[in-house]
Amino acid sequence: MSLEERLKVLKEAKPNSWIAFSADESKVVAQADTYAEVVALAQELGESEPVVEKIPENWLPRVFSHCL
Amino acid sequence: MSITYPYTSFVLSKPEAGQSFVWRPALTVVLHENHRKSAPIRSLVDTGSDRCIFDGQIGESLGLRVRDGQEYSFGGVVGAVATGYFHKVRMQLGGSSYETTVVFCYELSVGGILGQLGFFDHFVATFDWTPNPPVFELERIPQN
Repeated sequence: MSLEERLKVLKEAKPNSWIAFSADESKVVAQADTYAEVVALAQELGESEPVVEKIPENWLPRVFSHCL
Repeated sequence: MSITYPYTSFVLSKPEAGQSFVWRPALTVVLHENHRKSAPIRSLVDTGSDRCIFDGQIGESLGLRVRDGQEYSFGGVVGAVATGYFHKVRMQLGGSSYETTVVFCYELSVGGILGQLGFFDHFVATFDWTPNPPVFELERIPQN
């Protein structure tokens, strides 16, 4: 997945949700409101090791050190 | 042996200096507990975090009673205080795997954070903004 494709996926994802990428991160395989749902959906679609990422409420710049 | 990882891109809602994204150091880690394992979780590498912290939902998926763990109150740089819960897990990063205590919290904006205890005490980390994208290098500390 190119940089532009990844940014588009993240920008269009539902806030406060979870997204599952294929193991090689070449494509999105599932999106859901919870971690359990997104993993189950990805596995139903044959992706046994999806890379899972949480989508935040917003895409503000971050100062991490315990980001809430 | 060290492994070099590229930084990961993340969106910015408002472009800064004409750029609509930022580079952040991130890794995918797998947590193991109770003969269960998580999916690979995109986790931010955060030198300013005292602990490794993961979303509470991931703990539940491992069969943990997350809120039964010892409470851990922690603050961010802007003063907000959150509550997390300590649990022992096995953390796997690529070919490395070790037992450690992490915090599960339901108030994170990311899936996971890799902080000082549980991550930086196991790896020598070097960050390098010379290439584009930037990279970071990890080398396992043998005795840990």
